Amino acid sequence: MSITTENNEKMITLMSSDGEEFVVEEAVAAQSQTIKHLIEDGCSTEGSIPLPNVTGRVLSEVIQYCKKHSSSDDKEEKELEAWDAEFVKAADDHVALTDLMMAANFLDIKGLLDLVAQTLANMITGKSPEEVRRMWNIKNDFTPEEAEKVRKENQWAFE
Amino acid sequence: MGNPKKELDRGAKRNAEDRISSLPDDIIRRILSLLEDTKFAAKTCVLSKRWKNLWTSLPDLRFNTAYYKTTRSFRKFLLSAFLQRDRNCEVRSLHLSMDYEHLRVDEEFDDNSDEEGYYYVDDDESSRDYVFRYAARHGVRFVDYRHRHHSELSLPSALMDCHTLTTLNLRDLSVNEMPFLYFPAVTSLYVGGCNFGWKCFNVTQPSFPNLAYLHIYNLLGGGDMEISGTKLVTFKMEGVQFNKVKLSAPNLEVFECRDTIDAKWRRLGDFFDVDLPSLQTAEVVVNYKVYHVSEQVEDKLMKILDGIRNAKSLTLNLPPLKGLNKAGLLKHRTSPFSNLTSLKFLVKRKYLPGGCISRNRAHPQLQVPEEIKTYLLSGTPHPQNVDITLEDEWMHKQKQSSPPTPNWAIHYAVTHGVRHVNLVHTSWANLNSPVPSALLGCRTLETLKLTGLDVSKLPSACFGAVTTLRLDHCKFGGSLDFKDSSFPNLANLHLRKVRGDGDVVISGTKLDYVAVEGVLARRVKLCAPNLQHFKYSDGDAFYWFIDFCDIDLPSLQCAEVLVYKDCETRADELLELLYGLVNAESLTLTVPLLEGLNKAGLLDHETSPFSNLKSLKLLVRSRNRDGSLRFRLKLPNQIMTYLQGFDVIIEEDNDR
Repeated sequence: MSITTENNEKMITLMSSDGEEFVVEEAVAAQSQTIKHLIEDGCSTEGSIPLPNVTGRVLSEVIQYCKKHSSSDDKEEKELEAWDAEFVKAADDHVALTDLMMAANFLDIKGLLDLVAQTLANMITGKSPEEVRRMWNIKNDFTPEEAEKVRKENQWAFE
Repeated sequence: MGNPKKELDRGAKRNAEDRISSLPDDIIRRILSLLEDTKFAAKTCVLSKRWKNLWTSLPDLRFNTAYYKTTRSFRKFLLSAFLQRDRNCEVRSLHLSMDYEHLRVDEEFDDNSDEEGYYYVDDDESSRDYVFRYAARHGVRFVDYRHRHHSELSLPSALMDCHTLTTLNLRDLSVNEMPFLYFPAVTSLYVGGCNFGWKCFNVTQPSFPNLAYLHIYNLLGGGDMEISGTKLVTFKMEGVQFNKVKLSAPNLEVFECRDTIDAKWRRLGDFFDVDLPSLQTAEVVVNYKVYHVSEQVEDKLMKILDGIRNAKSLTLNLPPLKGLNKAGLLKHRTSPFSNLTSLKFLVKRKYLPGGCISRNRAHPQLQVPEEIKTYLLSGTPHPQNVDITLEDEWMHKQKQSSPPTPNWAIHYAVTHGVRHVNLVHTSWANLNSPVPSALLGCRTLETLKLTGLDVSKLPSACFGAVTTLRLDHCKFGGSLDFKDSSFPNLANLHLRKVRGDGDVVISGTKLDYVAVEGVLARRVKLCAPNLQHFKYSDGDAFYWFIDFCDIDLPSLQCAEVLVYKDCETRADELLELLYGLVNAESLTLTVPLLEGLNKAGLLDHETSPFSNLKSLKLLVRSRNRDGSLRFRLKLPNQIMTYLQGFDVIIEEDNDR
């Protein structure tokens, strides 16, 4: 469905996997390379663009990010960086960063992908494997012998 | 990101299942590639079977000696990382930073553990070359190589002839020979912090046939420099010292040269052969740190100007031009610039109209001397069409990108619970480095002292434990807000020679001591309910007008306002500041301050607002620097009336 607003901005509708609809300006949505290509291929002329891999909660965070990044000029780079930091912090309370990462990957939004990847990388930094496992619920499926072997093979990383 | 415990618990609570392991391999690799050293990625191999081999196929590799205890552990990891690596996997980028001066060097191998199967390399260069050869064979596109070593090194010949490498960044090398280089695919080259001894530095067409962007900075060498390239579009040089400079680039559009003439050793290169027919934009910024500039330097400057004669848009700073003008080199001459369409002069901030400094007075140096303008425009057929602008040199510099600063040391400290950080950044590149991002939001930090950095980003992060913050010679953009959400526990704040174009907001419920010395800002807001001690001074060598507003200090005990110069011209601002300090019980002022207020007529028929005052100290500088007595102190009547009722102690200011 394409609607035109007062200032002649073309609007498009995005539909999340759980059926929630979001009406956004085309310029905002086009930050996603995936959506951009869909629009170029003419998918947005009728109905809404279905995004089968993204839930409504995640999508609303993604749209928040795209809105900010489409309205800001390059000049405000520093302010934008601070905003990004706040955004990830807030998003982490609402949705799992891994879901946000998947969505950014599927929608192909490079800035968001880098931002979330860096956040996740920072979370690993300085933590022992045990702490990382606990933080992300990673199940240690090695037998004690296997674990010993893996550790020995890579012992230089643990010196 | 809250405290680590909370982070762990929150993650554990929400992620009932293991979401991170269900991410596709590519995404996990992307995350692991961002870790500061590949060693940290390798550590994830023990997490679970899913993670066991993920790190062996990372596209981006980073190795930094800073994360290793000894040379041996570094080399061993380096080599085992490559031995275990998935051989079919491409290396996209390689970051190799070796700084052996800060690393313990092992003595002879003395251990008896089982280490067979590892390939030992005793020499730095051979382990380095091994890594480079591997990367070159696996399609590396980006290499960042930093190597600080007490002896001279050879250039990375192992990377030569690599047909995938497009970006090469060489830092901190002492080069022992300049072999013939051949980098066929490199389009961007950065060389910084290198010492070439007496050898020549050549970046030429046969060596770099595809080079489009060249940035060299802080290079030292007694030999000649030759730059040539048919595809070269941008060339920047900052602080580059070579003897003779030969520059030939038929398609070069952007040229930048920055330098500081230093009494000790820095001098301009001699641009003896320059051919830049397509030049569009040129910028030459030379600053002097010497009083007397030799004729040689002036001669070389004229040669540089001649070399960039085809520029359409030209940016220059004033000191060298004034020097040339004074030496009479600009009079009755025709400038070589015949294509000029725009001309920009960079001026120091204090001379700008509307700038904080010159708000009340037109500074004579605001004007660009007519002779200089006449000279520069003399070669242009239509001088009236040339667009002439003035820009603040500092603001101009701010727009430029600065070379990357290594973050690893701070990162290491932050991840190991550092409590006190004193970061001093002295760079001739002039306060352009931001506060390292690794430091932002450090939870363990209690004392933070920063010198010579761009601190704009500081308040965007939360420093939960910081109680003492000292900023010295720092700058900021936008406004600098020391609010509770950024510094919830800040008690001592010391700002010294901090400058920026926005507001400084000092508000914090735990603030106990604030000192403001030589701060340049649009306004300073000061609102601290528990502040006991406040000190303001102009800093030593110069003064800046500063506007205080919204001062609210209900608990103030002790206040010092130490200003000596130009108190009369800025009497209004100073009086406003004094009115903000009315709750003080103990007050230290200077005699020139009171005299200034008095001369401006602000003390006539006024009663002093200080109702809680118990002690008042007046400081005076009654002696000249050589110790001789300057004048006998006698306060005018108005001041005596104004101060009536207080016990006044007059002391000599010994600070100086």
